[in-house]
Amino acid sequence: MRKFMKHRNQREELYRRGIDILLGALFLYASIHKIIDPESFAVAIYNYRILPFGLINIAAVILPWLELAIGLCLFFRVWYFGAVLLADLLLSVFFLALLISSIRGIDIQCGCFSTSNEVTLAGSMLWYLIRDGLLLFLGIYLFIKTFAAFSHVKKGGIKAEKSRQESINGHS
Amino acid sequence: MKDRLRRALWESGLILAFAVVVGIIANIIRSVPLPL
Repeated sequence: MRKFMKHRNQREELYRRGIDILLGALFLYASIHKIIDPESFAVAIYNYRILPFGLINIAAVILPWLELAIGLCLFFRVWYFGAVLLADLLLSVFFLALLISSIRGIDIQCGCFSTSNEVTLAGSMLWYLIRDGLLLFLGIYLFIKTFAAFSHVKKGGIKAEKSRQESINGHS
Repeated sequence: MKDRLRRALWESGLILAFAVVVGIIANIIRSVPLPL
């Protein structure tokens, strides 16, 4: 049983590392275009018609660097807890923005990985929603595994599991 | 869990501060005119 638990923990750790690297790489990739071309990114934010006019430029200047920092932190596991929290927050905001736009019937280029404002065939809102939903799902998995695992150990979950196993082995 | 969340808040503040400072400095250095 202990061997099984060890394998399970190793597998979960592997999944977590995989998601770290995937989300980190995606955040890094997404930030590059926006850092190079903040004007187009500002237009992309404006197209959503969610943020007030005064905040669009500030968001266009700060968001790409925030994505870069989150990407680096997730990739190298530096300031890891903060990076996981911010990544989940950003992914939720992006998903909500896309959801609101699709409910309003606005068909725009999402500006997630490219700052081009031309609406292409590949750029349908449904595809953006599915993609962001999937990333958000991975982010939530990472959040739960990062923050809930500790409380399990602290409450003596592993000790309780061990004593339960010992009692089972003792009876057999 | 509480400790981790507190640490997460602290670290996310640091990351946010980094992004704000670097973003503003980079924009001043490049002096890119924003359209809006």
